[in-house]
This record gives sequence, structure tokens and C-alpha cells, in this order.
Amino acid sequence: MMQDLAVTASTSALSPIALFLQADVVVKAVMIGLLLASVWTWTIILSGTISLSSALRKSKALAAEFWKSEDIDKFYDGPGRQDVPAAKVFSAAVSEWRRSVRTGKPVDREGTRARLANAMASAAAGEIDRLSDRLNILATVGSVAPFVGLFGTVWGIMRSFTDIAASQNTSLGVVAPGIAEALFATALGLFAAIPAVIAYNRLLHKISKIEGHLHRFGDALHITLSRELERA
Amino acid sequence: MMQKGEGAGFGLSVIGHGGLLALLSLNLMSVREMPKLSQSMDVMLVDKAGLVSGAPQVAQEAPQASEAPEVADTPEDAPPPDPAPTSRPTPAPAKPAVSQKAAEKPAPPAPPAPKAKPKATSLSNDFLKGIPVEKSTGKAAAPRAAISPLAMNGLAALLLQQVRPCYNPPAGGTDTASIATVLDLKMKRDGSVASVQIGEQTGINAQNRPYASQMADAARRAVLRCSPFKLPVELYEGGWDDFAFRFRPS
Repeated sequence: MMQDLAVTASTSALSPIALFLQADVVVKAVMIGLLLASVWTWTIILSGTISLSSALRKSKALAAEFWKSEDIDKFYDGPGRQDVPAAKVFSAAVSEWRRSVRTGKPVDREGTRARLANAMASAAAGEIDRLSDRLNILATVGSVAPFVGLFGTVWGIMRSFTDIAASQNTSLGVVAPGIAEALFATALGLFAAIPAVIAYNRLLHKISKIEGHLHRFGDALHITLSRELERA
Repeated sequence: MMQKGEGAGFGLSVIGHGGLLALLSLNLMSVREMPKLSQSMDVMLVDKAGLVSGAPQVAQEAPQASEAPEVADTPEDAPPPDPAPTSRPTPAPAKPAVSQKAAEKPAPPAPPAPKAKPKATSLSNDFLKGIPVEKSTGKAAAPRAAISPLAMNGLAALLLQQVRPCYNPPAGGTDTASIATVLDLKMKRDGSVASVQIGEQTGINAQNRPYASQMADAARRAVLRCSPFKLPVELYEGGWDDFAFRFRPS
């Protein structure tokens, strides 16, 4: 009767924990997986945002400090040894410079220029690789989590249809809780995927900014060093 | 696996997820109270209950019976005994008919006949013909007079509510939901159904005609499946012991 139906509808609580506990084993596994993916995603988002911001800030500060400094060797032994992307590029250039110029033999200018450029480019690429290490996880979660959630939903709805067939009862009180549980899996999938996609694009943009900065710094350094090479 | 700045991020994200979960569990996703559906069944069913017309007819018969003695007074015989027998016979043919209807027909007519004959001698032969007592209407009308049409509508609505969940609409067919089937239910006192007879069907048109018998079967199955019904016991006698139940799929 109507009253019974209303009662059964309101007694089935819609809190996330209740939905999780009522769900099927497969749906439970999907939910746990998506929750872990979400936690991992947010770990990467938070730590990635912090580390990329500080990398960009410190690189810019180091570059500005470098252009003000008088002595390259002194700078190399001081701030140049920091764990900063621009410092890595700088130290790669200086160590290559020392190896090429301080040999005692006549300096091969063209070869030294090429080696300097290669050393700086590879140092910058290594830094970018290190910074963008976690981005692939964000991309994977962003594209796969909705499908995983959808799988959980389809499975849950299949299960609730089986229950309907078994109980021979098509009233909403029988159908609704199962479908609500099933839809919760899709909600979790989207919950994990949306921040992942947004953060992926944001972090990618930040990394490309750092990359541009490193390349510009490397080019300027290369120009300065090759000018020095003319005098050597 | 985890890089050096990621510990703090991991902690933050775990705390954030836990907080969000707690928040959602506490209030945000609590069930909103939905407006309860009002039961409009009574309104719908009032004009459907054909039994309503049965009750007034009984009331009309009583005055006829009281008029009868006046007709009877014209013959010369025994003025005092007359009012008593004449007032009694009017319910008398009705009540036995209920019990007899279930039982044999040939035997019972005998007792009413002797009763009627004294009247015939004391009154006139036209007296019995003057009372429009058909066996069928008398049987149905007399007991039902005890229960108001409103209560009968309530009974029908109550029964419909209990049958609906057990009803599986047969697959296929267009416009089959408009077929209404009258089921003659013989019920036991405990609410279980003793027998189901499929009565007339309405709402049949050219499209759904092939499915009419299927719909009737489906209705019968629904009634049998839900069989012990919860109906008010005080309305059993003359109420739902023999019930013409009109089932509409929607």
C-alpha cells in the first residue's frame, strides 16, 4: 500500500556509507578503487601544484640573481648548486664549459658551442621529465574513472533487475535502492575524474611555462658563454 | 613510489576526502521528505460502483410492503393477524434467497411458496406480482443495504491497492491498460479467495481485443497471488464475502 511504499522509500538512507554497504561486491570494489584513485589524484594535485609553483618561482629568482652576479665561478659554487631546474641547466653548462675550455689544448669553439647547447638542452629535458612524472596518472584517472564508474553502475543495475525478477515485485520500493547504489558508482567516477582532468590541464600548462623559462634561460646562457668563448 | 613533497599532499587529500565523506553522511544527502500522494481512489471509483443502485431499491420495497396490508384489508378475513405476516414476508423472500442461492434451487422454493399462499388467500393473487422481487436483485440488494455505498467503494479501493503490487501486465499489445475486468470473488472470512469468476470486461476496442482474455487472466492471477487480503472483518457479511471486483490495470 501507499504508506508502506513511502516508509520503505524513506528508511533506505542515502548516505554514502549506507550506499556503499548495501552495494554488490563488484560495485563495492569499483567504489573502493575509485575512492583510492581520487585520493591519489588529489595527492598529485596538491603536491604537484606546490612543487611546480616553487620550481618556477625559484628558477626565475635564480635566473635574475645570475644576471646580477659578476663571477660565474663563484655563482656556480654558491647558488648554482641548488636543487632548482634553472640551477641544473646552469651547472650542466658550466661543467661542460670547464671540461671543454680548461684542457690546456687550443679550444675548439664550434665543438664547444654544440656541446654546451646539447648539455643544457638535455639538462632542461631531464628536469621537465622529472616534473611531469606524475601527470600521466592524472591523465589516466581523468579518462578512465568515468568508465569504471559506469561499469559499476551497469553492473549494479543488472543486479537490481535480477532482484526485481526474483521478487516478482515492480514497486518503486524494490527498484529504487539498487539503482541509487549503482548510480553512486558513476558519481564516484565523475568525482575522481573531473578534478583529475582540470588538474592535468593546469599542471601541463605550468610545466610548459617552466619549460619555456628553462629554454630561454639556457639560450641566454649559451649566448653569454659563446661570447666568452670568442675571447678565450 | 612516493616522492618527497608528496607526503603532505597525500595527508591533505586523505583528510579532505574523509571530511567530505563525513559531511555528506551527516546532512547533505539526507532524504528529502517527498509530498505524500493523496489517495484519490475514492473519487475515481464512486461512479464505477454499480452496486449503489441496489440499495435504494430495497428501501423502496418497504413502503410497497406496508401498502400491501391496506390492499389486504379489503377481503373479509382476520383483520388483526394480517399486518404481522405482511410486514414479515417482504424481508423473508429476500433473506432465505441468500442462503439458498448457494445451495440447491429446487428445494428452497417450496418453503416460500407455502408462505406466500396464505398471503394469497388473505390478500389477493395480484399481491405477489405487485412486488417486483426478482430473485437476483433481491439477493444482492438486501444484504448490501447494511453497508453504505461509500464503504463499498472503500472496500474496492482497499482491494485494488492490495492487488496492484501483484499485478504483472502481460507483455505486448497496444492500449491493453484500458481494459477493465470485473472479477466475481468469493472470499473466505480470513481474506483468502475461494473462487474467482471472470465477469464482463470493458474498455475493449479493435486494437486490444486479441488481448482481452490475456488481461482477464492476468487480473485473475494477480488476485490469486495476493490472496489473503487484509479487509475489515466487520464488513465481511454482505460486504466482501461475494464481491464484484472491478480491476483496472492503471
